[in-house]
Amino acid sequence: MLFNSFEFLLFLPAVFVLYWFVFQRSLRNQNLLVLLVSYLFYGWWDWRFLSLIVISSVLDFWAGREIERSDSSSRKKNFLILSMVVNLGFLGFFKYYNFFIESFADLIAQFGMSPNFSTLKIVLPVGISFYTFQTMSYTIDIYRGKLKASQDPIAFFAFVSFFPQLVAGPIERATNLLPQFYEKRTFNQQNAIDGMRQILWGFFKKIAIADMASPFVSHIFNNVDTIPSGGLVIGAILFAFQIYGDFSGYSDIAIGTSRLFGFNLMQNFAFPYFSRDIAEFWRRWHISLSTWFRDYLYIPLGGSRGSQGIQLRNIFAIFLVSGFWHGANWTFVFWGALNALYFLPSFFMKKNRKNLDVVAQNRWYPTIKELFQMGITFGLTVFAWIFFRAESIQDAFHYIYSMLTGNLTNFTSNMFENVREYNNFKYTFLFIFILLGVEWIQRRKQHGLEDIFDKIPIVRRGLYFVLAIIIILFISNEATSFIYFQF
Amino acid sequence: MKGFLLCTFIYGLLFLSICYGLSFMADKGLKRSTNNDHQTWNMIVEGEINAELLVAGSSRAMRLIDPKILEDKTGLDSYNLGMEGARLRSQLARWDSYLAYNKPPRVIIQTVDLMSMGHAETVFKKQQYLPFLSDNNIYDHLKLVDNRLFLDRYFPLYKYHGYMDEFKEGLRLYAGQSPSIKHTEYKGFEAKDKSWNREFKQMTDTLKRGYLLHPDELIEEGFEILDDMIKDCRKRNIQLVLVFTPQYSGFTDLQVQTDSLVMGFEQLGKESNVHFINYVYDPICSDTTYFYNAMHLNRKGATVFTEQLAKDLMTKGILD
Repeated sequence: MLFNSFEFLLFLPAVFVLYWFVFQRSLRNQNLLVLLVSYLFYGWWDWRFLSLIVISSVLDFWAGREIERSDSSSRKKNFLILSMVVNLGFLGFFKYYNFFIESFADLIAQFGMSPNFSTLKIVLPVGISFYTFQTMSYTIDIYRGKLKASQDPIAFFAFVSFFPQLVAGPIERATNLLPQFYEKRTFNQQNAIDGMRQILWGFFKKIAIADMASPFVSHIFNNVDTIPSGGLVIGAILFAFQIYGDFSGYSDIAIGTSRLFGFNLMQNFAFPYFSRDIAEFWRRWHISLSTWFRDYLYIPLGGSRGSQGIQLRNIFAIFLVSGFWHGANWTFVFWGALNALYFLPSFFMKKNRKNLDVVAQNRWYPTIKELFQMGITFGLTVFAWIFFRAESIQDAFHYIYSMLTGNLTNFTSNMFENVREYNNFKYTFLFIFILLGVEWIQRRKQHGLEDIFDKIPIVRRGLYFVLAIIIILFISNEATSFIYFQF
Repeated sequence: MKGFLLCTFIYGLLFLSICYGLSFMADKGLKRSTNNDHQTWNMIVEGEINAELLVAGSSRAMRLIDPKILEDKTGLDSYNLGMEGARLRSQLARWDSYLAYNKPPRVIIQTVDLMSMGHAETVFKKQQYLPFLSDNNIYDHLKLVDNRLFLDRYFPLYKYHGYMDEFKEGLRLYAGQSPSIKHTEYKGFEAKDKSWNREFKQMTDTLKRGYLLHPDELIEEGFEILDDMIKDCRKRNIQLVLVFTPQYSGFTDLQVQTDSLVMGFEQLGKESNVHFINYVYDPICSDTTYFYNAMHLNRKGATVFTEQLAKDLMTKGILD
């Protein structure tokens, strides 16, 4: 089920009523309801893949208990390995099997052999990368002694399949989310109201930014040879906003929805396009994944300790794996490597933790220097997004070559005349302008509408209505999927 | 919890009210519109047409049959209700609403062809219906084409999603400003001053002879609708004439269904005692100077054809 579908419009209030008015007396019943509606939410897309979530949940519930119960460290390790192998095995098979086969065949072909490997028609289960990482954090944390194994299967199964964040995150740590299933949730009005605001902002980002930019981005990336170079620059910038609107919009809706049910999820995006350097960008973009890799990969590898060679290896490891997590394509690996290269200078000059505060912390406007830094960081990010969006590395280089060898100020008025949504082009930029304006004002907050204009209620309420009307007027006929579902 | 529910309710109510208000204003504005999409609909629901000779059908009625020529030749007040891209189901929406608000005509010329007989997957040019979705004469037919249309009808403002130009035009007209879109039709007829181009050649390069446009079971749905139209006309004492308007002969050659379709119309005509006039094999169909594409005559072709049609209506004694 998609958040931006008519079904969800009925689903959410129905679950809310059942949760707070029918099952509110018993925590166990509330958790059972969460579990069932989460399976319904996921099964709406394809019920067959529910079996993967169930298998993963059963295995990790059992493995967690065995790890905790075992006295022998080797036995603990064996159960951890079992959990990792099965979870990563699912991920590897469904997401990477064909990629490895094809890449291996290509490699062998380099030596003059013509192997005859066959690929499989595999459907990628939605959200597999998200819930797999979430359950792995559970067994790893038990192994590390940071978390007690769950004794409540319903609470644990509900934690793994929690519908707001099941298919596209935030990737919650068991240490944060699981204990919330053990404690009786009480309705917090302020939290719920702010959750509604966050949902509204998430829908604005998805519908008015991502979905509006999408047809133009597709048109530009599919017609690189006929689009003037200035248009290619616009295409890359629009994609930067499309992916931000799509993914952070989903996160906002997920976090806001969770708050309606008394859960608090972690912040996943912290206004990343106002970052002053790449290190800051990665502290603000897809925070739940970055910190996952930091805690479960980078630090175990040694982190920033050891020789410069070790540090270099660790940085590349985290960025390459992060890139590869996004999809079975070399473009994502290249995108990760490029970001590692961006990051290295500040890391070795020990300036990667320079910008820990919010830009223009106590001021309305940024300084010229900050503006320049944000511009450079955004430019580098946009450049890297080209690899993320392109179908292949060759396509990405062709895009960049076409972009840089032409006149960057070259636009033609009929650039988008074949795009059905041609008339929406001007609105797309208007909404990006609104997004940047609101997020600049709110850059110290958790999301775009938190306590916005709290001293001028009429403006605040007016903004809510304007955003809601924009959503109604620009929503797509068909509910469009979220980009990160494919990861 | 009470506070939250009350707050949600009040915001929801306010939001719905604003949406209703905006939707109402845009609807009202568009009901004053004289652009091609809305003028005929506005005249229909206001009962302002009341023609004696009515032309109904798709764009192959709208662009091929000139009511001015019909009026000159027959002396009957005429109007063309042809709708671009419309299958019979959508044509029926216009037909029913016309008869609900206007005096029944003496004669209806209903154009027929393979395209019109097919099943519509979506409501084509939905913007023309936006101010009229609360009208059951229209909505009841369209909902059979798109079963999610209830969202457009019942959820305020939602129907304008994706139609910002119409929404803005509606608000502009509601505010008393002059229309920004020019009206180019004469009594529903819109001629095209265009010439034959390479479009057909490009199409045939990608097609093989004998391709089917619509599966037979979908055409059956078209015949069922035609049957309803015939019964309705009989009940209201309206003389119905089915006309297969000209299409380029090269295109006809591509459609293996044409002959059986013509036979179907002939049989329906005989069984129902309705005139059927077939122009699909007329010499006009072989001359590309009369067409701007395979399915549509240009202004010159429309003039020649309408004169021929008027003559045939007279000589066959249909208008007696």
